[in-house]
Amino acid sequence: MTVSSRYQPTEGITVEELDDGLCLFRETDSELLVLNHTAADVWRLADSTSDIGQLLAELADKYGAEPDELAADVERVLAELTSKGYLRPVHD
Amino acid sequence: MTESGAEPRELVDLLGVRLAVPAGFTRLRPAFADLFAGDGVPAGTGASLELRPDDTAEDALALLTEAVVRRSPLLCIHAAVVASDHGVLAVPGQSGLGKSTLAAALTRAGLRYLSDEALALDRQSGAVTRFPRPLSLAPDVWPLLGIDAMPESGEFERQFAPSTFGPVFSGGPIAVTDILLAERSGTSTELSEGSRSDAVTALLTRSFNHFLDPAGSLRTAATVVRSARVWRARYSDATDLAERMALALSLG
Repeated sequence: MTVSSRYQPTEGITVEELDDGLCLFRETDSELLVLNHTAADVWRLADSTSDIGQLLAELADKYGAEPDELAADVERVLAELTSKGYLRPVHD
Repeated sequence: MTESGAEPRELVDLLGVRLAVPAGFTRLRPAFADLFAGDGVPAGTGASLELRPDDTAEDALALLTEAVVRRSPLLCIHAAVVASDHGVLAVPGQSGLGKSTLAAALTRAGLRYLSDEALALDRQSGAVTRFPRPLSLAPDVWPLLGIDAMPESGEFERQFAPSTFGPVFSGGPIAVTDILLAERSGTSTELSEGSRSDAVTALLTRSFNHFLDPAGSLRTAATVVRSARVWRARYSDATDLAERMALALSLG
């Protein structure tokens, strides 16, 4: 799995926050994706943090874990959101 | 219909659609009477309902629903819809869920009927406009709903006026306060708290016309769900679920 250091939401994604998750709607093919709490945190931090290291640090702080413990799961979520076209890697 | 095509027609406004229906349509009253009361919503896209002399009430109802929900400026979602003292309870679901039976049972349990077919939401405010269709019910559920009648030979369904079962909501636009995600399974009724994410998914996947504004439809659905309580139910007896739901709503 190739993981970029930074990600951004793809254009044309509508986001609606709910108290138990996040709804992402992709206009190009009208696909709706619902993220649970954890995946929603990954999405939000991918949009707001400067790189994956910072993203892991903030998630680790929130969930009381070590960044290394979360890395595999976070990379899997990022890869899935990227493959589905909701996130795109940013190359400096 | 006459050969000249100049048969008498009647204009009705339903869900923002100005619909011209053959005057003969009214012979299907009283089952359709509630639909002709008008909702006072601005007339939207025009449509003309074509009926043949041999069309049955079921045919007429299917054509009317098709004509209205696909043209309406409102976001129309396949659902049973009733009102409590607090606001609207919507039960989104596909055909075969038993929405009509559930709508009738909820109305018998003291809630007010808005529709057995469409939750019609203003795309900006999320307020609900009623669509009080007649209820098409198979003979096997008639006894459950207190209908003392015998089916005719080969009768598959019969149309019943909503007022057969209880009060029909007659007010203007009203807010959604509760959403019930119901599933027929098991032998008893289980009612619990549901997930807002599941509710948004249920509303959008049951929509008739979200494609008119897909992203806006998500915003409308999310707006409605955020301010509503979400319930989940497994049930086998619609009247039992309706009574449990009506009690839960009465407790606030």
